[in-house]
Amino acid sequence: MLQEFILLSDILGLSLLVDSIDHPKPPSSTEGTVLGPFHTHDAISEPNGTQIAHDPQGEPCLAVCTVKDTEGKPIEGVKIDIWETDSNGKYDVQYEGREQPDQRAVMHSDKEGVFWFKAIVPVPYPIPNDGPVGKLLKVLKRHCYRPSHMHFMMEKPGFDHLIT
Amino acid sequence: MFGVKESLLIDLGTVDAEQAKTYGVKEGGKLMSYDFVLVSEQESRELREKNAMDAMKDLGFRMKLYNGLPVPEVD
Repeated sequence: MLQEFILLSDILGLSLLVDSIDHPKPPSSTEGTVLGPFHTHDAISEPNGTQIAHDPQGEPCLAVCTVKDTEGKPIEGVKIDIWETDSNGKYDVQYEGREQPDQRAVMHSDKEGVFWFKAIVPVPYPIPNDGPVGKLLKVLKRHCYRPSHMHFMMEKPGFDHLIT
Repeated sequence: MFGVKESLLIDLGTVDAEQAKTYGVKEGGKLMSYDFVLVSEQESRELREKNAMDAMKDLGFRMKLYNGLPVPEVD
């Protein structure tokens, strides 16, 4: 039931309301969004350039990103947790018999604030809709799909924690 | 369905010849690039406290901050 509760909070916008109060963002900064239930703590720390997704059906996607402060200066050594689904819109943890993490990694920004990796093009997927939240959405006539996305969680001492 | 934040939406680009060489991927493949901007803890705290005090003022309360929380100004 724990996941239903998170989902309910997410679909009502409550999660993001709390986030926007606790982590207000000046106009120039990156906005936060939902953490979701699929983050894990076992993603492997990888160097820049790593292939983090291994789904052969996925369309390859190169990701080249930077992390900077609000004055435009690169930030080195930001710990970046990255996770996405496979080409079926499922996270590794949604499969039985998961042996190791896939479609996820932890990376660190370099001196220029750059981090880059090889992944797959994200696909849209439905949130779990077989529980009470699914029923609620149906009654409200709302669909249960999230847009294609990739998750990033960034942290470095001295900076506000960002989940987006 | 979740009130998607438009600032987080991007269109994927295409890997050009130079990038293909630099990053060891196929030219013409999909490219995702994004420039993240982190807020310092101090900026974040100042903005959070300002928003809290503005909200209290709008409600007509005379408050002060105590450990980051608005409490009644009783003096």
